[in-house]
Amino acid sequence: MDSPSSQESVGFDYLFKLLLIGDSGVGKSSLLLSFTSDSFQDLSPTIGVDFKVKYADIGGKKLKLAIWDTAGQERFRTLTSSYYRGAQGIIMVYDVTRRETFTNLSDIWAKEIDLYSTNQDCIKMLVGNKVDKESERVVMKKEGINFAREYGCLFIECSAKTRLNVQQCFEELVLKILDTPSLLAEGSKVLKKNIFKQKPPQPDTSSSSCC
Amino acid sequence: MKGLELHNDRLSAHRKLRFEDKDMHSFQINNNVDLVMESNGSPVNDVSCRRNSEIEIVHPNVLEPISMSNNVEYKTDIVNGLRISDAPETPVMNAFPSQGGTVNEERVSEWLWTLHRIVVDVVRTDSHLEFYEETINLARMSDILAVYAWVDPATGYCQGMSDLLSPFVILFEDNADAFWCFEMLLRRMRENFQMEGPTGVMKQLQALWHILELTDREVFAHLSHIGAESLHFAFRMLLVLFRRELSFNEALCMWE
Repeated sequence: MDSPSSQESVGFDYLFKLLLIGDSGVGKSSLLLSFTSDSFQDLSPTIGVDFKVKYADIGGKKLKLAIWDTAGQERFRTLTSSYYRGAQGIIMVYDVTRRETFTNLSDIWAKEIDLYSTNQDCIKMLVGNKVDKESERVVMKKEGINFAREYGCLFIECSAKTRLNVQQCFEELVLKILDTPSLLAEGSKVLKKNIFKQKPPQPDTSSSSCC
Repeated sequence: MKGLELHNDRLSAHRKLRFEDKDMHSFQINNNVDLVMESNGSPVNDVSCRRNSEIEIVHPNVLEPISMSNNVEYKTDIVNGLRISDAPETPVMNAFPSQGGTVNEERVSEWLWTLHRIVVDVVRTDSHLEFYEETINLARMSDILAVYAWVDPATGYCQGMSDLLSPFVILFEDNADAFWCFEMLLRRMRENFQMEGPTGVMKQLQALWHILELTDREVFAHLSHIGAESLHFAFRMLLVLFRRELSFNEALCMWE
């Protein structure tokens, strides 16, 4: 029972919590699968919230990334909204072949972040997915850039299917987090807490029996 | 997915709704009233008298049978008035159809968005099964979800429903059979899919927490220690009745 956590605590320098949000069917789960296991397959719609862990070396640091993948349908928001808390990075995904998934980012998702994110410095990233379907594209790259400029977030276009820019997407986000002192402090704070979590019971009992 | 087409054409199409989203999805919805009428075993004219049936007509203004053959408006009103009899009422959806076209149009346009959401999910449901390589089977699933969303507007469509419906589509050749089995299942589970959030599942998770406290102290203590009292990891298990945790066949055995 104790081996996994002690292994983990020596295995990485920072732990970051990342969150994937966006409309139903834009490819959030596919993007995550593409990043964590370099594969692509047809996935069922996410129910509630899903979760994957990826260990990665980025910017010369050993990182543990806990990535939360949320359901797109608004009815699950009561559940998903609690997962914004404490996230260092939030990835907003849209589908370049479906206009409404892009407009909903400003109408709905950006507001959700304002409402639920507890972290002022949290890094946001805009991701236009499914660029492999270039012939069906309706949202231009320029529009994504403009959105990102307006909302002060990073921007990348990618394809979970061909894995184009998928690694870069997460790397860029994490590099930016590593560049932000307050977020970096949080990432390591969690680590310390984890180490301490193992110990407390023993000193308590020994000191009480002494007296 | 191209050309998901409904195949209920036994009644001539008095009202056709056409919905297209670029060239991704397109449907043609013929009047779905026949699915409901058929199960009542009566011609359209008699339905307004049958107050005890599972689906009733909520239409206070129609007192006498009207010649149906070319009265499109009347039929539209019937469709608008259809709802599952014990479903809770919602003010918007059940506003009197007789108040005119605006309410209906609103409801129809909301429903068209629902159809769009349904198709996005249907093509991703049990897609590893050979059965769903056939477009006709995908269409059957979306038809049933579309009809359900119409007759139970308080619940509408919610992700997870397609997981619950899929086995019935496979087991029953007849759409009406699959629909009614699904409807019976949702009577128990409707609260899990309500508009205001999955309150039903949340209650079940709380109950599960209490059960765990009584039945397995060790797991209970561990989950308390790591701060997992919410049991969110079990959310999906309860919402779609282990359809995602088990294989298709295993899930059916468990359901039985």
